[in-house]
Amino acid sequence: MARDVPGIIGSLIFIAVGLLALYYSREFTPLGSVFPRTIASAMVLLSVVYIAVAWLRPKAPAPHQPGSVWRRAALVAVMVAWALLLDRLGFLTTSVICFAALLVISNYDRWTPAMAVAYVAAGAAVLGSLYSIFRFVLKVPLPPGVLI
Amino acid sequence: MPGIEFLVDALTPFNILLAIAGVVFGAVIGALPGLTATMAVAVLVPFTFGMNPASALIALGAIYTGAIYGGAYAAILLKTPGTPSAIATTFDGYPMAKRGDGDLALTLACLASVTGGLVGAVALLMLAPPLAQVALKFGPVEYFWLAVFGLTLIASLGEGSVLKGLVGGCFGLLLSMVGVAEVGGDIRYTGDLQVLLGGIDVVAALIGLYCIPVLIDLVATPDPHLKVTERLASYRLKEALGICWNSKGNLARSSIIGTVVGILPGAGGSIASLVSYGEARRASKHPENFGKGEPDGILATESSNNATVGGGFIPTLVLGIPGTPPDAVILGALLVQGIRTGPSLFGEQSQIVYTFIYGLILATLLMLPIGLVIGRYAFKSIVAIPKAVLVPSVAFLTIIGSYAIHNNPHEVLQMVGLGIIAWVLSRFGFTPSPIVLGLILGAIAEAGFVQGYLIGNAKQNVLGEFFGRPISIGIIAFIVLGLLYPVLMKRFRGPAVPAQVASSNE
Repeated sequence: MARDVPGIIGSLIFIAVGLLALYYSREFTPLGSVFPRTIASAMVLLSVVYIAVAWLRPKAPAPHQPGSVWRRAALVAVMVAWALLLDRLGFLTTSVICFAALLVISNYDRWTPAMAVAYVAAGAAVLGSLYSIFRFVLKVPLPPGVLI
Repeated sequence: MPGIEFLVDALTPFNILLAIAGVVFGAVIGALPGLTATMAVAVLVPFTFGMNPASALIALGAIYTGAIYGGAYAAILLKTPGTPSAIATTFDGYPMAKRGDGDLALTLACLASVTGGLVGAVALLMLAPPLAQVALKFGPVEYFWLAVFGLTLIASLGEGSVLKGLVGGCFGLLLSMVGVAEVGGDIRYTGDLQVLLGGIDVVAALIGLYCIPVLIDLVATPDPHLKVTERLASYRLKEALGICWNSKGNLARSSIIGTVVGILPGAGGSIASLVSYGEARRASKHPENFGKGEPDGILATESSNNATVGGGFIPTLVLGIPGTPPDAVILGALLVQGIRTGPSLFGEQSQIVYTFIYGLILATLLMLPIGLVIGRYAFKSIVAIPKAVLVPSVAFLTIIGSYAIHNNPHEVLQMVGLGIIAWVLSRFGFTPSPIVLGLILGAIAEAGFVQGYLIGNAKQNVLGEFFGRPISIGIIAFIVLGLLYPVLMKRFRGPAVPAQVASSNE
């Protein structure tokens, strides 16, 4: 039996968020501040109660989730880059680069020429078909760039 | 049966073809995260302008019902609700797929969607005018209590900790307050960023909160995405029908909840499915199984969200008030066609209305074979796709889906940001479902509360406004009953088996 330390840390984060929400609600009108203040106070109070419960009543810790840290971090970096660059480089250009990057990050098998060709073909099919549906069928004005 | 003489008009080859095409197109659109039923209907409205009004309505109704059902595919196979209506389908659908029962989950979703869709359509056929009058009795206070009723479900979505669920729900409620206030126009929590003035888009948030954590954990290990069983992707129809028969009470209750919530203007499938899920869990003999792959969870959510289709058409056709967001688009299409909605519609233009209702029933029935076939191949495809291709494909869908909502790159950034926050919070044991629930219900709860308070203040009777209206008293009774239900059941049945803390990444 152990204390839920991650839960306590999470609750501390929520207390900080709640206190910030209360602090900034000073700027609102009485009508606009009643709900944020109520909810933020409730969040702080519930978080404090959770910390107390977690401290006083230890329980079995949640199972550890193994996995590659660098792959997770790389995926997050690629997703952030994708969101930031699609307007600047163009939607298709950014998508081709980031799709290829995620393909490399997600692959655990040894690369072979046949596999590379198959994955590139699959990627082109997915990107091409979905891009065409959104751009030409659903008429979504995707940002143009280097490729289209 | 009212308007039975118009059944033949609905069964013309052209209308049947429209119903099939509409269901297929809707299901495909609904399965793509970010593309909602509203968008599916909106995109195809222009194609119906050249049709006769009844055929146009059948096409739009078929797209709508297909899209609501289609949301279940991504929810079950990718843990990402294809539409907001499928949020609660992820709770048990994905765990079922994970353990190798994805084919059964998809068949259950299809059967439940057809059942709910039929109940909603039959309610539209038989009870439209009287039910529409009930919807008019709902004022701001009733909406406030309805939102509170929805928020009581947070307690059952905490996956092992009610307190964590409530904290997450409060965080979701705070997120819903970002931007310009619904009442009063205060600019709140934008950090002086203009891009946050419009608030956080629910669909973008939904994609981020559910999908990004799944992707982050998918790349972390070489394990396959879904468990592959010996018998790959059969329909398992007999087994599913047996489960449906044993859960007929749950199906009936959830379909009725979906119809009633659909009638209430602005509520929609997401609230209906969450309310039904909570009720199914409360009524279950094994509530501890919910969230771990319980078929009753899928039956509840999928029957209720499809029941909102028929339910939503009741105020749309009888009062001219759209019951759900896609109904608003369909209402616009009706006006273009020259149809004047209102109580006299069922008398003066009965041919159009009854042809459409029978067409909607036809489309719902056609959803069974179409849904089963699409579901089988979707499951086979998702299982067969290597992880190296699946991860970037889903990532691309999240990006393009969140961009397409308002053609806004800032919403893509919001989606990614919220996804990263959701993953971090999941490491601390806080799951995304309560946050999403708070985000969805926050605006409804606040607007109802503030408007109710202002009305009560003007009457110099705030307490009477909130606690003295008949419908409010009924909803408050349900809230109290819902909160006390577990305690009462414990007393009568003896203590339940404590639920294990479920990992958010299961």
